[in-house]
Amino acid sequence: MNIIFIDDEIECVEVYKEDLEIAANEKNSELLNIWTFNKLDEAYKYLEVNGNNIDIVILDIMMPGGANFYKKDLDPMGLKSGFYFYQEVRKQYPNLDIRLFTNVTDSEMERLIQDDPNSKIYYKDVLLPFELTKEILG
Amino acid sequence: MGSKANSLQPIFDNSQLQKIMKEMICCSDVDDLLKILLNGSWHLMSDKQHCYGWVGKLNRVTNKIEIICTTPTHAPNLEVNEIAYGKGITAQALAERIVKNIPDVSKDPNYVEYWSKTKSEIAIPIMVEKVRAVQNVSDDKRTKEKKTETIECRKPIGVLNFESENIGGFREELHEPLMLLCIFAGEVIDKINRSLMLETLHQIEKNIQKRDDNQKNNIDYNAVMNDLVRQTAKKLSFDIIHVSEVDRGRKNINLTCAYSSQYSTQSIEIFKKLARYSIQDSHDIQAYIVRDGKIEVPDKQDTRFNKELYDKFGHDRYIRAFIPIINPSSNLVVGTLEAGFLNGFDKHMYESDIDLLKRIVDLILKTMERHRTVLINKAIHDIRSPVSAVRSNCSFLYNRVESLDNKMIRKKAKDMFNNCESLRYSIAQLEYALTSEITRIPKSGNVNIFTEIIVKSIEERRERLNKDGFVCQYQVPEELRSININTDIAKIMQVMHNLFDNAIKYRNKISRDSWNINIEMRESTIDNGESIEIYFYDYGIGINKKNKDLIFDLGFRDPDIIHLVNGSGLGLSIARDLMLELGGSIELIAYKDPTIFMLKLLKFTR
Repeated sequence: MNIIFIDDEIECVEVYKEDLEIAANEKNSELLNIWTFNKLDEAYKYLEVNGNNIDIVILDIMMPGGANFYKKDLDPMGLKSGFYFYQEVRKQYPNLDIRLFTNVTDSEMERLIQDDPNSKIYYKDVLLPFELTKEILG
Repeated sequence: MGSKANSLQPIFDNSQLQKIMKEMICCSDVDDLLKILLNGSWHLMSDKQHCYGWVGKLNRVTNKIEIICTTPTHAPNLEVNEIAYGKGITAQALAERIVKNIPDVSKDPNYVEYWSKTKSEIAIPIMVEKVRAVQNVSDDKRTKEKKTETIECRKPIGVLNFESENIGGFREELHEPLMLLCIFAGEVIDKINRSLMLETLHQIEKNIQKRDDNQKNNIDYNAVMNDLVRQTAKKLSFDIIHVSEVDRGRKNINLTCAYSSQYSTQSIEIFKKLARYSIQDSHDIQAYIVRDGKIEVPDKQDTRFNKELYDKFGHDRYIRAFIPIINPSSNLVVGTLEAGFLNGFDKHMYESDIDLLKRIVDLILKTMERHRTVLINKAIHDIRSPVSAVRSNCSFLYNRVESLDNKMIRKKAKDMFNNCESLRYSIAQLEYALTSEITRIPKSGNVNIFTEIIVKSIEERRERLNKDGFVCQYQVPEELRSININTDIAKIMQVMHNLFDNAIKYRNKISRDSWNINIEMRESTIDNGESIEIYFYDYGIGINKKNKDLIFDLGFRDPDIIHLVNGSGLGLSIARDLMLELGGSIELIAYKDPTIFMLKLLKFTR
């Protein structure tokens, strides 16, 4: 299984990554590869090339938008850059499993994600590492 | 008087006047109403073919009479569309609020020719006859408590003007009925204007609300406040509107927002720098308003005006009102609203103006409250991340402890400790944003600058700095290492934390070699060594020179780097306030390569 973690505070997702790796190792059931990115532009470049080989994208919302995902008019403070990234990736990969991983609550965003069968929202202050592991590895 | 004079005698009765009044009262548009007044009055003249007229309304912002319409027949090709204050018989009539009937214009030095055939002229002011205006009570003892009084006066609305080809074209008998019609028109127009202004204010409020709903936590507070001030000034007939706000420490009142058709962007920035007053010590009127919490309408001789600003910005030309902005929950004055218009045709600040300004204050208060909420939300967001991290690590350790080696367990414990350290500062930041206080103990005491501030602030975050690839060094001469000062350690450490936090956030991610932070301590050379200076060198992405005056503003974030780094815009603003509270200061010494901040602390508490 190939997973991408995208978060500007990469140390925050380390523990989730570690829990997944331990669980995968214990299960010894499948090979687990996890890549981490702290910049949206870099993650997007990677996905453009390797998107078809990725199983799950776990994506932070409130991130620096970089050159491509900062929408000055819509979101001058750059609070939803990750969501704009999600929309772009979704256009390219309609079936890619994208899990939004955030501390931000936004009703409009929640509504759009609800309509997307291949996406989910996780809240950072709710979801514990073992819960994410269970969600992904079962 | 010429023989034609009698031909312009009125041939009307009361029913004719009533008919015109009825038409006017049914009208809801000011310009249409003025047309009715002009045409109605003109039709009352028996010799219309030798009489030409026009009607104008006062624009209080430009201090000019705008010509709205002219009589339909025999109208000369009038090129002017406005009449300036002090020019001609018409302007005089409105300025003095009296009918001016000039039987022979060639003999009147005030006459300004717009039509070559004019021999005589009559100008009737359109006004509200009895209206209450507010003004400060005349008082020579300027330092005593100020009081306002209301006086009865006439409020100018516009002017009705007729010119005749004949000498003595308008007999005195015309004065009373024309005056009656003009006063009636004035009353109706004033009511229409008032209702329009309230509607406009309501619309402005709705627009702000809509913008809030659309942008949620992304609101640019300064842009909203600037828009509010600009819109209210333009649409509610004030030529200047200034909003000043009390800082969080309640020490100073600073001009934060200004609009006038006379100001350039550059002059507003100069104005903002100059208009800062100590609430306790300043004799400026702004400080008085904050201290007394009362509305004032000072006259131009008032000695409490800042003379430098007064002369520089020509404020002597204005009638101005100062309204305290009072937070209803704390009952504290949190700012002032200053509004005014050119002293000319209009010479009074009316009660209705004050009422309107109070409503603008309500809107400003709502905007301020919204801004506070946004800042608090951002500060809360800064807390959520470390809380989530501690919680996740705890859960991870609890569930996985048996499969983890000691090295991993120690690493996780250290991560949690570091997050808790970060939380301490974030909570203090939130507390300060909410209450302007940091209650964490110890509050004050004897502190060694070298070991307890410089070394400790580096060591506290050494691990994170190393992990992120920073090289952090200090340079403190031996002779300064034993210097102790009496200060609030929690506050100074918060300032250091905010500087470190910025250095880490805004590191130059292109060149890894440049991730240095250097701290130097020096004795001040400009005040006989009474102060200690701590220089914080940060080799990050730097500060845009154009923002040098904004970086310490609450909530300010450089629009050019918002897309690169997330942040709340609280750090430097709080650092500045804390340093001022400690009797010191923080200054930006260099913008880039490196960015240098200088913290100044007094060696001895005064």
